[in-house]
Amino acid sequence: MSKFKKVIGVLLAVSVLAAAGGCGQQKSSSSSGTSSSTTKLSGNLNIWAWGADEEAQARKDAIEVFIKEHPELKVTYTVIPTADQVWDQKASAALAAGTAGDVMQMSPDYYGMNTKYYEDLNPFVKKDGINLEDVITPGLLDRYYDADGKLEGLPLHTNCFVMAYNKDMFDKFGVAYPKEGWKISELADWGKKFVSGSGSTETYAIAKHWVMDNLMVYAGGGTPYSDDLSTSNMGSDSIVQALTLYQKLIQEKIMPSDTAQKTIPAETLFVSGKAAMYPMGGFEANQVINDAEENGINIAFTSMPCDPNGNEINVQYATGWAMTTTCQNKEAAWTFIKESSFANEEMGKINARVGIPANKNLANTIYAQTKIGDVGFDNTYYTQHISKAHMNPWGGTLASSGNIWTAMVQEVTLNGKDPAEVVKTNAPKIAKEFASYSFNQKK
Amino acid sequence: MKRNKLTKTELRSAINFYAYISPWLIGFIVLTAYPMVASLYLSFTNSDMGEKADFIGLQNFIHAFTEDQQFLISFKNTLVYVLLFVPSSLIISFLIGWLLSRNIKGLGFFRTVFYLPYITSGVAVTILWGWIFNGNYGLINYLLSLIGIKGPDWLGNSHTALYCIVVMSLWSIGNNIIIMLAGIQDIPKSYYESAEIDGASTLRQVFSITIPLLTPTIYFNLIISIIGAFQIFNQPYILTKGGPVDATRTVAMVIFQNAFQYSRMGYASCVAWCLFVVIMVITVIIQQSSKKWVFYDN
Amino acid sequence: MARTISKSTSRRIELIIIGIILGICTIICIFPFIWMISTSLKSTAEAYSFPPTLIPKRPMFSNFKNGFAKADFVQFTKNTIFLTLVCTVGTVISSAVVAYGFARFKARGSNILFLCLMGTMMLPTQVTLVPQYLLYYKLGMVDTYWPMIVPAWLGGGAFNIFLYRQFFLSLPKELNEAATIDGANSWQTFFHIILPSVKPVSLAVGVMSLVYNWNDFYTPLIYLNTTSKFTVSIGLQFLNSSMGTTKIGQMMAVALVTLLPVLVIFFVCQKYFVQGIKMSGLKS
Repeated sequence: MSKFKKVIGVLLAVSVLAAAGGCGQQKSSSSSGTSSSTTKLSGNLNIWAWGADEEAQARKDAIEVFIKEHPELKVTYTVIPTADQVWDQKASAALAAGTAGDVMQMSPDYYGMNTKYYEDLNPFVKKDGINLEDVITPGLLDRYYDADGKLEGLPLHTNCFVMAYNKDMFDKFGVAYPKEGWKISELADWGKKFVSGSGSTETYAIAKHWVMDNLMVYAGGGTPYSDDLSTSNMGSDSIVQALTLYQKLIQEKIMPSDTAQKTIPAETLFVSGKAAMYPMGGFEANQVINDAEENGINIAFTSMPCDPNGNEINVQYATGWAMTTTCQNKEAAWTFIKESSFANEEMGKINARVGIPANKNLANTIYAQTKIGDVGFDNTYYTQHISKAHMNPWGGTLASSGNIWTAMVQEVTLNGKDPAEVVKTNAPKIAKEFASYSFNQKK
Repeated sequence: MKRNKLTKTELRSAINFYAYISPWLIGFIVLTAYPMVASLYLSFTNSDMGEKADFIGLQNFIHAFTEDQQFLISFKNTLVYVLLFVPSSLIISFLIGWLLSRNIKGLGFFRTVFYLPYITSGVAVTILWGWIFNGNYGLINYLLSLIGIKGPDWLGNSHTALYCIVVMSLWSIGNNIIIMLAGIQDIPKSYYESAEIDGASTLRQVFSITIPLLTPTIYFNLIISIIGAFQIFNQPYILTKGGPVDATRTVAMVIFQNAFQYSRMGYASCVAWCLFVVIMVITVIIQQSSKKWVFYDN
Repeated sequence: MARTISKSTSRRIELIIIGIILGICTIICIFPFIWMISTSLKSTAEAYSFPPTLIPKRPMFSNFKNGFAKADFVQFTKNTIFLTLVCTVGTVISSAVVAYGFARFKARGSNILFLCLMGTMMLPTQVTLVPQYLLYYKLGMVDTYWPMIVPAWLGGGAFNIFLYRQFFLSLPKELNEAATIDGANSWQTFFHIILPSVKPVSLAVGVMSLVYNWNDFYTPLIYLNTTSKFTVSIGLQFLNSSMGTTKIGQMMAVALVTLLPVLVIFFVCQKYFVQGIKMSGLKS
């Protein structure tokens, strides 16, 4: 059992530490990697991160733990309260000027990949003799490698989605509960039964979560681009199918079309009984379940829908740490990154508060077993599906293609254009963008 | 070129000039000129803010005008916004400024009320307006529904989205109102007094005294509004992120996205300088025309 | 004919019309603000409920407590007061001085320099951000208040210089001439005669500068790294969630309280706008 292994691992690690004393790098001697480091780190360590919600609080708490364990190290922590436009500008300016932190928060789906500002972590991993696959939760690590195999950062945690639904509404409109493996095209069938009312009394089958655009890319069965990011597949039939479905869902009011949906959270639509389903991300599970309970909604859960080929459509939003090339204290930076990700159990537990932690053991134990609310929900819903979840397809450098996709969606759903035509016009634009990306220039 | 020797008064004038503007001049040379020149240079490169910064001549500009649809659309949107916002803002701020200059009770309260929108902080208010404009649950459509009208999806409709941004901006012109008010109150009462004696009506006084003597202030507000309106960014970005389908994408947004999201600093600089040229040309035209319609009280 | 209506009646009609227009405008201006107050007392669910409720069903005063607990607003307020005062004073003084130069004196290059002045407002800041950041870094000013203070004291921005210039230009030349006859040099003329003549403008610049500096979050956010140096406007951003889980009630609560100081100062100061002092005595 992993728990037993963990105990042995800790004992082994401690004895190795005792033997090796406090100097130099230490070899992680067990594959469970839960040694708590007592390497004497000195000098300064400057950490930059973004955000202001529970996730940011968790990061802060984890850093506090790290500081306590390394009293000789002077850690300064800069936090930029919003992600989005201000982080982009501040981080870009600082990175370009070479004045950013030693360790920067990064997210393969949002900001950081392929920016050339980060150190390749492979040499550090190798030097420590760690096998990352043994210690990191499967499904979290892959996207941190760029197309050339460079390891840009290490994951902290990630969140994917689960489909929450309102049992009462399903009963009321006479629809059977969606079972695991249900297909997204079914929304166009029984989804229609939920359509009623008008204006403020409208009811929908599913709320338009902000993640919807990213999910729908996969709805026709294809992927938006090749695995090595060299070619885009946005001209394929599966994309046309996906857009056709999307158009149908919105035009028949199975899903609300409100572009300003983000000004009224989709969650509110769900917990006030106006939308029967809601793709619930791990980061909002607490809030959604509590709100649903408060409003007396009978909530249940199932897997995310599948594409025509039976593959589950799920995306994940991840966060990690990276080391900048201008880092002044590489040893401390590496220790911090390593410990945040998987090597420090205390810090890992804090990660587990806000998402599937990168620490494999904790993911399968503490995180998975966390129950939320009184509705029979625990996080195994997430851990069981994370390995199938795609990273947000349009993050980071791919944002320019993502914006074209958004425009395509809007043309089809808001202006009612023909999906085949929209794809024909825009696929070449996306292909051009892909050709211009820096990581494709070398080829 | 004939080089005249400076007369004594000319020399004294020059010394005074440079002495008085020295604080600004120092700041300009040290802190502002370099970044501006740097960005101008970058606009001719393919800089991604990293090591790459190869000189590529006019390629950015050619791409912008011939291939980049977002560039052209954003200029169109921005122009429409300017044409809608600036005249409305001038008229409204003048009217309200004038109303506030009349002797009425509770002036202090009203002044504060009109300045309130301007003081209110950006993000919170923008979210509020997003809710006001919301298609199904927003305030405007709720009020309309009370009198039986089904309002459109204001922000989700390519035709109405930009107007919403204009309305939002017009709501917070408190600054312009204050400036107009200061200008109106700067007009010597003696003019009005003599006009009263001559029996001129209020309306007549406004058109013969107030407005002509207010032209320096109007000129100021005009220039400032135009410069600001051309660079509008925050409201459309937070409210609609440029949608739907580029209906609210402004030039400043295109610059931001290229500079910070796509890391195409060279191209972003090119777009920025195109905008600069447009604003500068329009400003110079207005400035030249100002000789005809702006009266400085000398 | 209009003359048959007595003065007092026409005055009353005027007041009524003005009252109605102002009343409508007031409602439009103040309503979002009322809504902010209302929202600040609601839970997130109720804030988005439909039909909208003006008076919250269960006022959540805890929004205020919880919102402010998100960051050290006391420290932020101290910082902001300091920064705002220093920048406002600097702006009012230096922009008046610079504007006087542009308004009153002709010299070689004055037109081009004025164009440069205007030009600084026309280039979007996004493209000058990185070189400017680099510059401040080389000057050792990153993570300090200097990037905000220095521009305030070096002219206070083209906007204010331009504003003062317009008002200086509209002062009658006789003012200057009278002073020169009395033997005053340019500085004395400026300080004792010209400046007092534009008190409404100085007040306007002061107030606008105060509001601007109090609310400015962009520049401080870019240049400040240490949390304890942050300003109130940055603090407000701590209530904005990037994943859509913003607690809107708390955010409005904090936004409301942070705008109160400025509102109060404005209300107190705007009285002095009434005293449109003008040297009308010279006109004879």
